[in-house]
Amino acid sequence: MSNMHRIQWFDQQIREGKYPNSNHLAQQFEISRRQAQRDIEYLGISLRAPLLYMSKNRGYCYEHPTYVLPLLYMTEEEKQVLKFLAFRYRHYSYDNASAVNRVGHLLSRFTDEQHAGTVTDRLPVFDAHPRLMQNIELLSHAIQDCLIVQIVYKHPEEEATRLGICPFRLMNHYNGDYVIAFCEQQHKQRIFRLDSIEHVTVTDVRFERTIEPVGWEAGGSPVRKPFIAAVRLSSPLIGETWKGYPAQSMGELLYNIEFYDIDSFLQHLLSSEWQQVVAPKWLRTKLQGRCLKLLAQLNGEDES
Amino acid sequence: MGAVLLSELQMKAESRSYVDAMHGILAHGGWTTLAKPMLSGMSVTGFRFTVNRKLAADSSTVYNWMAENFLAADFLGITSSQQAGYSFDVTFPLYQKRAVSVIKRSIDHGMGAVFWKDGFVIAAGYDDERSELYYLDGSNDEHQIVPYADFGINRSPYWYYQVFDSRIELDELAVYKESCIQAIYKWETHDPMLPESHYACGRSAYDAIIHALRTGDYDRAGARQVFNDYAASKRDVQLYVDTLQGIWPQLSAAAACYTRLSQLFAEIVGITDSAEETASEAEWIRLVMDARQTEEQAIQSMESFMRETIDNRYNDIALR
Amino acid sequence: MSSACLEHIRLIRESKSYTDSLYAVLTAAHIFNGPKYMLSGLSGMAFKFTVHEKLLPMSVTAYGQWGDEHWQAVNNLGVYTEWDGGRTRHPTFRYYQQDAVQAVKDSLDRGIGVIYWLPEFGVIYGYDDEDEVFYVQDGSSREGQIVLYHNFGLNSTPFWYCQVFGEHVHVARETMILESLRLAILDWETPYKTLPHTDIASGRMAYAFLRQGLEKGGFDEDGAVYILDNYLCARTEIRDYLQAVSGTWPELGQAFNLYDHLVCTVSGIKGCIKETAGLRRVDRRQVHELIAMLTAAESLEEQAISLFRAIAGKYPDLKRSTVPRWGTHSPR
Repeated sequence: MSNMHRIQWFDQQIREGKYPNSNHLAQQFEISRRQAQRDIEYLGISLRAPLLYMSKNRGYCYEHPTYVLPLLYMTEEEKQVLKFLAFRYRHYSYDNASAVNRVGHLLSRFTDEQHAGTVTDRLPVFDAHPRLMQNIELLSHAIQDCLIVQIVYKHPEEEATRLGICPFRLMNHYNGDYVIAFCEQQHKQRIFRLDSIEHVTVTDVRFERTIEPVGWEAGGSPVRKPFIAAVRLSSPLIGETWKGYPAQSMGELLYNIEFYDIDSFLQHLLSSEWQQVVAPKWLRTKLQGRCLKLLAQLNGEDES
Repeated sequence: MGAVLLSELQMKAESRSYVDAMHGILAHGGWTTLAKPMLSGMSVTGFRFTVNRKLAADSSTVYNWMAENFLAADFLGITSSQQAGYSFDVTFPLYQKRAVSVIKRSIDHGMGAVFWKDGFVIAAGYDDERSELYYLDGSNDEHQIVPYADFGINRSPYWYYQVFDSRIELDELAVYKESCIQAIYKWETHDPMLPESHYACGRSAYDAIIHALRTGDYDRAGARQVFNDYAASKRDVQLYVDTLQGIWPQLSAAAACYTRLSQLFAEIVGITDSAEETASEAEWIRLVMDARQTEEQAIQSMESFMRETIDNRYNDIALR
Repeated sequence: MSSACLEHIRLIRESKSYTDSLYAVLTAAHIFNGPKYMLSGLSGMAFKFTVHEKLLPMSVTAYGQWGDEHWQAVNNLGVYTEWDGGRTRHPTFRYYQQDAVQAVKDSLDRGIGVIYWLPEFGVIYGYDDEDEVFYVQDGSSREGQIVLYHNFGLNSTPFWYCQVFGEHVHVARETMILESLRLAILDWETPYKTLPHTDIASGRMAYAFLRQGLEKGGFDEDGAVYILDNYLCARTEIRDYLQAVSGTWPELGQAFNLYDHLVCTVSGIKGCIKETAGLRRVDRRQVHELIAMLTAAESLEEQAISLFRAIAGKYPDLKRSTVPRWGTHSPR
């Protein structure tokens, strides 16, 4: 948005109690008064700012001091384009993928434009095919709300078929966009190419997400699995984590705790209450090693 | 184990390239029902165009087997194991022993194996009592014999083998698209393994052929073989891209170009037997120049079809 | 459910991580005897010198396509080897991974460690089926790292690599030395070993990149120190190697003298790296001094390579008189 920086300035002026008006805005940015007035109208109407003109101050303030300028103000159309780009960037899998994926996550949270440009020197560029974008939009909505979708699917060299699907997940993998879904007619999970879907209709019939999708991992890269420690705790856990580590109850105070960083988890074990570290063996060995080292240090101190 | 022979295995030498062997094995093993031209395109083998500047007969097999044949399988979703080396190397006996063992294991699992015997051949059986491997070279249906002790010892100083381990399902449309990008790469890029003083690749191969024909400094018998081999590859590619245009009409221009290209190569091969060598050379040059331009147009068409992915792969479009 | 642990394998980080790993594996398996500099020299690893134009830390391991580079290095020692690797994002990765996990276990059962890209290169020295893990030494501590079978090959880079070793044959010492010189010449004269990337230079060209990178400034601080540390270590290895083999050809004695002089010339490089707040950094005020030392070193090295060429030229080079069907390729 080309007027974003002007709007931000105006907002800041209001907050500082300077009661800015269209003249000030026009002078500050060397634009016409009419343009400045349009900016102020935009702030008031599209961005729903509670603008109040104070004649005695000959400028504006906010009626409600709680008003916050939305981080990203753009049209629905622009939001759609960004959503699509966010999807692309999140699934981008190549040699500098992590930088690009971060951009994708940023876009997903609708941060303002000022940050996006500095993340990486060279962002990949994607064509925005209207039908593809729309289908992704519709399928995303259906996935979120667990709604059955009717599609017309035409794979090359096959007849077009009408299918009812329960979509689980969208993904981009190796030159193609796909949706993983359970097909009602064929009673099995399938992977559908998005560019072979000719038509999408989202119904208002909900489906039960009892079956988790199997097989293909989302995106191009395999996902690292966490280590799992079987720990017997002193008392039952409330909730699904043990001080932030995901924990799954296995019964009788035994929990499977997930962790990625070994050193951090060892520290955690050394500073927490538990009864027994059942498995894995290597973790017990490392923990033992730490304890022996501490003991040696302790004894060393006493002797000195 | 005593003796095993995969008697239903067949091989037909056409482009005299790796794909002749690969197709024979995969078709027999039930890992593909596709015709050889499709495999040639999908594995990208058909798009390779490398020549020795003197048009030596082995031009079509001068490339990095370890790198390229691995990829040929990988593009199809097939995992493979392979090794290569010089038979005069001190470590050769270790690799020879391992090669025979791996090939036998593959045959036990019902899959033939590719190996180099001055041409790519298919290992189709073995007999432990006689210490022999049986193979097909594609010239006929007769099984030839190579004793274990002679495996890898060829007229050329190399040995090589490849076995196919497993297969995963890939979206064939994704494979087709990838092959288009790889074809462009092959057209534009010189194989880093080959000294440019002696070899030319892709677009430059045409220039090298024209230069050789003009100066007369080339191996005549070799040139005939080179044209024969590549006429078969271009035929494969024509059939392949023709199939692709049925899915993506945007490729119809490329398909038309490859059809013309295939015809040009057929003509080049056709005048091979002409009695007057200088007359045929002039005609060869004209046809080769036409072929160069035709293939250039085909590649441009594929470039615009795959533009988005190519742009996003920056300066190394071959890296998936 | 089985397990294996080769406790006697010890990875010590001094040289290139691959050399350190190879040394740990081969000495523990009694396939190689001798000091590390001999392994580094005979395998040609000592002579590999690559620099990224921004002096990134990855320079030290970017000496070519590993499959090819390492195969030549190990083959020269007369050892059978197989390697596996590629990009983890490729569709076939999981299948290669499963095969590799089995191959690693088989190797450990046979009592031979496995080289693995962590990153850097480390050594897998044990496995446990019950916990489904590999034990990996990275040379930084006695404890080592743990890698789940499921995560084998997954790391902070987009690629994975592992290498197993088998039987070995005796190779005549002279043959090994001669080939190591040929590998040295190749590395010196090949400007780019990771085409199509031309922002990473090798050998003679690497000197130019290093000098230019230092001069321009704006280089990676950690990378610069790492490159220089490794450079110094490698030059010392080459010197010690040449001293050990100098009796084989008279030219090698001369080459040793050159490298001995080189090591003295560049000994001042250490002094150009200062430690502040626990971080080692190139002292920007001494960049010109650094460049002068490197320039002198390059000239000495160029002379040494000429001596190698003189030796190599006396014998037919079967491996390079014909174009192979493996070797240099672009990353896939």
